[in-house]
Amino acid sequence: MAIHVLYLDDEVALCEIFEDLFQEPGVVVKSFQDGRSAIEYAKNNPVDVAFLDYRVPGMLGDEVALKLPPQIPKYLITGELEPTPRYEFAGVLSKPIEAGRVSDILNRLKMAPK
Amino acid sequence: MHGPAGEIIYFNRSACRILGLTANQLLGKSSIDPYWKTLKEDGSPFPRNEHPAMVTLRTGSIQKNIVMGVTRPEGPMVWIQVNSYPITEGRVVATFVDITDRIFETRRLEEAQQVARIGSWSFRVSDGRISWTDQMFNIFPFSIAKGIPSVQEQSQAIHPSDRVLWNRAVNRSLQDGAPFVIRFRVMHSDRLVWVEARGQGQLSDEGKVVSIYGTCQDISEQIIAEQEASFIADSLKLGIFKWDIPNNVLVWDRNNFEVFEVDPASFENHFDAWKSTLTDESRDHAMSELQAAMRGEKEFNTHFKIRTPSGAIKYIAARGEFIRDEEGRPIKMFGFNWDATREAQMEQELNRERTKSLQTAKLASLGEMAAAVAHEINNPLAIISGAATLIVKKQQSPEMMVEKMEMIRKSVERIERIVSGLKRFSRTTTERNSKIVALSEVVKEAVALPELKAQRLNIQLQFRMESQLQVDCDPLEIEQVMINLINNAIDAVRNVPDRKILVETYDVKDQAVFAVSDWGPGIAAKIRDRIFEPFFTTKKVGEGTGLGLSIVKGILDDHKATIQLVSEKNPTKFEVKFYGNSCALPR
Repeated sequence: MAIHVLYLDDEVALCEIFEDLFQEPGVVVKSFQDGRSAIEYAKNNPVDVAFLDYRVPGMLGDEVALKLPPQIPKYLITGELEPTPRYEFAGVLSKPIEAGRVSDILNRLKMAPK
Repeated sequence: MHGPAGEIIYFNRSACRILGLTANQLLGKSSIDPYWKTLKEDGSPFPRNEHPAMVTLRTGSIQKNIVMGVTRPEGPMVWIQVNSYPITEGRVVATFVDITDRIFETRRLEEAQQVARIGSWSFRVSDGRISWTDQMFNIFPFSIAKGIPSVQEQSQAIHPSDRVLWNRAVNRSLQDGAPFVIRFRVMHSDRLVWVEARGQGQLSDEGKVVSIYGTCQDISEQIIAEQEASFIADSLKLGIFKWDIPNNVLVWDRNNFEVFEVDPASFENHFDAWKSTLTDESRDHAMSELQAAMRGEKEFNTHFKIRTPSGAIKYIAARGEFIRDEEGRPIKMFGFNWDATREAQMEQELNRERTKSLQTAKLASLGEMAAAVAHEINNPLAIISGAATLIVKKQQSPEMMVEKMEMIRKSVERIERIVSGLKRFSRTTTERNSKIVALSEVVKEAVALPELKAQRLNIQLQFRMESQLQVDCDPLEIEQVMINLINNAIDAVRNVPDRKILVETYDVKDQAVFAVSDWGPGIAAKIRDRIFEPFFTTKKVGEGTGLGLSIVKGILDDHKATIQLVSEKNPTKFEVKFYGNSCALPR
């Protein structure tokens, strides 16, 4: 069973890179440039984990997190010096993210019993 | 001359002239003739049998100084003063003089006295006769109908505490004619009237006092005003000083001694007594302020520090005015002092607060900027790092490699742009570095950072660069102006549907104009006067420092350029104009 990853960043290049880096057999990455379409997608599709950039136009990463289904583990990706999210994320990854940390999270999910 | 029935049997030409009648008109008429209309001094009809000639005819007595108004067939009425003497049985001579002018003069005087609430009085020593003008009856509680009260009665009307003043002044004046000015209270049934009495004696050739005469003025209103003023001065602890400059006499009131904490007994009444209270630090300043005011160059309105006899330092505020002679030399100075120590302390505290919050604001804006910069740089860094990871970790086709390298190159360029946008913040000196530059070029340099912000927030930043003029300015400072204005516009439109900002440059005659328009919620009329004040902000706490526009204003003032809110809404438009010499023709 593949795990479904949601990635939110308004920077198109970063979305492409994230997909290229982590899309592999058993991992489906779906990226979005705005919060609204990410939420819309998560309502109707399986999502196992979400990586959300903090500064996204319209809705900030923590606002998006609040509106995503609660059971999805969510990680905040941010370039802020002192992020003060109004949501308790499963973890905070600072930008530029270490690919290894994302891989660890994904691997743990793959091993976790569904 | 009147005959037994009062008929006129003889007259001279003056009589015709004064009464305005011809000889024919006059001869044979009697003073009780219905043809004559006569009035008493108070305006009432003169009863015919009281006419002096008639009285003399009837009684044989001399009538003197009878005032009578006579209507003439033509022209205005004439006032005459009549004397009549019996000559023989049935013969009376009446003489009269025209006193019309005098009567009107007296009336005008009475009217003037009534307005000024001044009455005049006199006292004749020989027979104790007192005369009063009407106004005296308003000042003293006596009815005009009952006539002039006796000296005793007058004295009774004066407030018991003030009687001695009055008696002493009058008695002195009776002895040597000395002039006096005294103030006393007169008791009316319902109120006290404050009276200022002036008087002096009239001396005979031998130097004896023949009479004393003078005025009484109702000064109640003035006294109330003075009492109010002194009440206010007392409650504000305003000290009053007066300085007679030619004689160098300095007079302080009670409050002023309290202000300076100086013992009145030890005070030497001259200028140096004041000067010696000043601290060394304040003396030169206070002196130069005073000298400038004495020369009439400025008002005397200053602060200085004094050292009180107990050694305490106090801040004193001073205001003063001068009275000058015909040549403009100051001859008198008067004014106020008050203890401004608390004001000064509060001002200092306020300044400390201001400096502190200015620093906090600077730090806050630095923090804000650092956060923005970090975010702007971290994104391209993330791209570089991601692309590099991809190249290293994943098998890539040559085309993919090139694509990733291109991504990296673009990101590096982006970072370069951000860093060059930061140079304006790195300045440590406040020295201006002026150059002649095209206004449009300055704008192009300035927009790099705001453009990034606008892109990120999906805001449409439009440009219309039409100015061809060059301006003499410090480009970095003017860039700061532009960045602040554009950033404000960005903040204004970030939450509205029409996220549009127009940045323009254009020329109006020899003025180069930079303008920013946004279609945000606009600036309310009631705050438009305050927007350039430091720390005035409509943004939420933490979102704005309230310094942006005040910095803009400061920089533009330094450049002799102006900023104006030319439209409050749709669009909200600020225009910055560089005037006159600061504009040069393009090379």
